[in-house]
Amino acid sequence: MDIGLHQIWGIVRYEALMQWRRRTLIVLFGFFVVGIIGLSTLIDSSRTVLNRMTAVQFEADRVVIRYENVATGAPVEQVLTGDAAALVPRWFANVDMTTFQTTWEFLLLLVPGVLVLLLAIPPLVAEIIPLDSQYRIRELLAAAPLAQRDYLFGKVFSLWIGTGVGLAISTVIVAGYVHVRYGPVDALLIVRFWAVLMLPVALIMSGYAVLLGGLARTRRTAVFIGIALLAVSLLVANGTIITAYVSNPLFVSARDAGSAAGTYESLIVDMFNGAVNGAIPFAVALVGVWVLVWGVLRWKAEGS
Amino acid sequence: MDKKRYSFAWRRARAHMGVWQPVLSIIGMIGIGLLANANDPTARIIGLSAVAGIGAMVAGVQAAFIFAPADEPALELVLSAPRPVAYLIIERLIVLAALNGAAALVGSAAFPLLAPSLARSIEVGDQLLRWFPPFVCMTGLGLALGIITKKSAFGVLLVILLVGAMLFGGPGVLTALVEWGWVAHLFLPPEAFTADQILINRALLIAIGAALIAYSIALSREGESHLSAAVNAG
Repeated sequence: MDIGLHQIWGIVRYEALMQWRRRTLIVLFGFFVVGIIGLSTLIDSSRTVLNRMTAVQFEADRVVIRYENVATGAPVEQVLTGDAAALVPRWFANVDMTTFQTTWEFLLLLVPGVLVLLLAIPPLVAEIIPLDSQYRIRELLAAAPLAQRDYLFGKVFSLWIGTGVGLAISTVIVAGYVHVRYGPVDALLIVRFWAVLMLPVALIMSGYAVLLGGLARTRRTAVFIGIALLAVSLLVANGTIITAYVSNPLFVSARDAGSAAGTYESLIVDMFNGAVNGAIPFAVALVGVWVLVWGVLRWKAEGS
Repeated sequence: MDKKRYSFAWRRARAHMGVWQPVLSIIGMIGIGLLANANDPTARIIGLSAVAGIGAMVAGVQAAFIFAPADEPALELVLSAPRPVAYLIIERLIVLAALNGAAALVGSAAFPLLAPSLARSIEVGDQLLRWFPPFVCMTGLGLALGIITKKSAFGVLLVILLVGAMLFGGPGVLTALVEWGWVAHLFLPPEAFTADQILINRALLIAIGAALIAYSIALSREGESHLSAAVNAG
């Protein structure tokens, strides 16, 4: 193996071990799981006041919507005609209404959960590089010798691996909980939501935190950098997950009812596209931050 | 035998706590006052809780740094010195209270001038009464979490999340979960609750904060575990 790759892999393993010892990621994702399970009581709240749709059937000049009565559980049928019928999205006929509703109840809970996660990441992970200075590891690494480029790659990738694994495990736990407690969910859609939305924003924010936190010499200063990055977290959340929240198929259908063309799949793709477009500027800026921090660390190393 | 007396190290305590956070606190209060007067919707949500909200958050964040063993420089020396660690915590707490009290006073005096449309009739004393209970509560929480978790980041995070959620969510954040949730809300609006409810709420917040501060001082005696956290990277 190339010496550079060998060193990067060594840093990744060392940092993973340190993260395990510090319990930071475990606490972070533990809070996420507990928070989402706590928030899931909102599903109970909505289900005690709203009848649940079980099927939607489109006929020649009318729409038949079947519900389950919230109080008695008895089936209820509602027939819509004329303008009222035209407001019902056509794609309702092509989805399993029970799974569809439970899945979106869950995904809409994940959005505030991810927002809190984005706020939690910077203060907790900004310390990663300064800790090496605080515990005199940097001098040992510099004596290796280890290129600043490889050091930064190792630190960031190690955190990204930890973040990805933690987010995957916690999402599986909360999705499994919702599946068992509230009924079947669309696993494929949840995987897409995780891969396209949750994971990239978590990686972007953890990247900013570990890189900019690396400019500090002590953990204390790094935590303050993490606090300052909360503003960036809100910007990232606003451009991505909140964009997805307001453009999810349920809200879009309610807003554009009657005029909303397209299928369920096309609405989902539009939602993801909006979020990905919102994330791109932050991902590009992350590359710039990476180069900047690499330059600063090199300059500091040459000066010392 | 004479009881041993130890002196306080005020200059060191002031240097450790720093003055720029309370300065930021004043800037934040003034900024929200100006924005609220300009009808900014976010600033209007915070409204009259600006002084209490910003003041409590900054104090809680600072408190998390008072004594977090893994972040404490030269902890071995501090623990091996004859002066109890409790002195260090108390002197830093006093510095924190003085700096943040001054910031709250300036913010309370400036807020009605900057946001007359919102706070024309609010007295400075009234603003300080709104600020003090959440200030004590968040100071206790930040300090306790710093000592229990051994590092400041967890305390910082929880203080920011709690203050943010209650500031923007209003009393409904807690009362939606449980009917009597108002008792523990940090920024209960006096105009929406009875005088008795406000009194109970403020007394409880102060009691929680004071209990957490006392517990933190008691925990400061566990030198072995603090040292272990400091040498094992927290």
